[in-house]
Amino acid sequence: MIVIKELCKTFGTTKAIDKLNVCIGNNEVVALLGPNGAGKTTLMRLIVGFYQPDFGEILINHHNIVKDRLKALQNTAYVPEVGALYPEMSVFEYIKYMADLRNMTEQSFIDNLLSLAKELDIESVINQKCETLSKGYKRRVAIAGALIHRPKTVILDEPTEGLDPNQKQSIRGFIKNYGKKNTVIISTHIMEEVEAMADRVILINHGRLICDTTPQLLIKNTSSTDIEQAFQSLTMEK
Amino acid sequence: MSTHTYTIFKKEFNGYFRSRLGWFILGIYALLVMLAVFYGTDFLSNTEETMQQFFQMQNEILLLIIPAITMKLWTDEHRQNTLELLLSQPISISSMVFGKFFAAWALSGCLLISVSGLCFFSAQEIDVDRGGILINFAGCLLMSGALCSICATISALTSHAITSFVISLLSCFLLSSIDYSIFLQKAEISNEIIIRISQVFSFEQHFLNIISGQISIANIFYYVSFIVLVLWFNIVAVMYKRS
Repeated sequence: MIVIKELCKTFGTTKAIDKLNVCIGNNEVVALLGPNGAGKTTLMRLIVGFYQPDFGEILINHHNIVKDRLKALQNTAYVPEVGALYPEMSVFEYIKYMADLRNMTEQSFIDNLLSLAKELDIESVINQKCETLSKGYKRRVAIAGALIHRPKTVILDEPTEGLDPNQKQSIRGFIKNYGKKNTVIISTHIMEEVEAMADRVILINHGRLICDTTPQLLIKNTSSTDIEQAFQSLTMEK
Repeated sequence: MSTHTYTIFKKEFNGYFRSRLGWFILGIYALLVMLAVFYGTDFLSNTEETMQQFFQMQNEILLLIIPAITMKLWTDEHRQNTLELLLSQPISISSMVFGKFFAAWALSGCLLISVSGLCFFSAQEIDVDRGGILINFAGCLLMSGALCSICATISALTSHAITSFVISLLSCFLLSSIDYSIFLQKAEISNEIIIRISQVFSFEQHFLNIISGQISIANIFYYVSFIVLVLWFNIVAVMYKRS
């Protein structure tokens, strides 16, 4: 469970996040939407403690991310938009490193690796160096590394960016499935992804909350035909 | 060493040999040691003095090598966009800083071990106290630790490996060659206490004390407190980079 109260973050004179209040419960897939520069990545970085808020607080499973960072992040995983892999490491070494950072036992690491490698279809590249992987595999390996300890809360920044349609389909299916028993927050620009995966939509613009509802209600309340139209009607600058 | 520190240490130390950097550093170090043996000192004449000269040369060699060892410690996290990933793990920043520092220090220790055979072999030929050689190695190790801490902090403050290397190199040379007595003479300060304090803070003086056999708790305390203080700055630098 994630509780965000009166959150503010400013960079210079730009308000990236402006008095944001959100509560995300367990077992839901939440799509974080907003135009470029709306504050989605900043919000995600604030949630995982990479940035410190100027004002307000974030509680992950009742632990404050600033005061109690280590406990708050114990059951949380984050996959940034770019990077997240060490090129010179093999896939196995990378996932093992992530498991070691989470203090996993050898047995649970092996069990989780076997099931994740199958679910994400990375078995064939397990001994390959990360730098030699295609973009689709890199993304899947980054997700596998983040999920190796089976966290209850997962934050994914544009998880399907730059992937081909088949790879997008496969990752969406995986996220949807994972969200049945855990909380997943994804940031995306792809509206079909929202329709395919999200139980809930949080739309922000200029760091402010525009709406927090289900995809169906978003379409209905804006009298739109689909989410893309609803998104445009709520974020289009006059 | 905490589990997280050990995990980071293992990843960084193995990383030297996963890429070509570790082997390249080993090669350059071997080359510089050979130059020191055949040209820089009169090592082959096998006297106690030449042994001391050899350890003095180690100081100069480490000044060149350690910036290369540490230059990628933090800049690579920046270049590969993995800093965000690392800082979103449930690990304290001090664990990350110590893990990376110990990896760099361990590699410099390996370099020193690689030339130990040469010294002990020569010690058989001349009547040199082997305990003295060990103390000299300990001095080199302490000094390399202090240099690793400075260079690691510079790596955390910069974004490119080459920038980190150049700034680290300049800083190490400045730090080791700085002679406070010149400043005191220019400022016409002859106060005994101030002169004593300036000697206490002299980086190279402590190293020279150790390799000339005058090792004391003060020398060890100087390097250990220096390392701890600089690593504290490294933690602050990472926190600054995060914000």
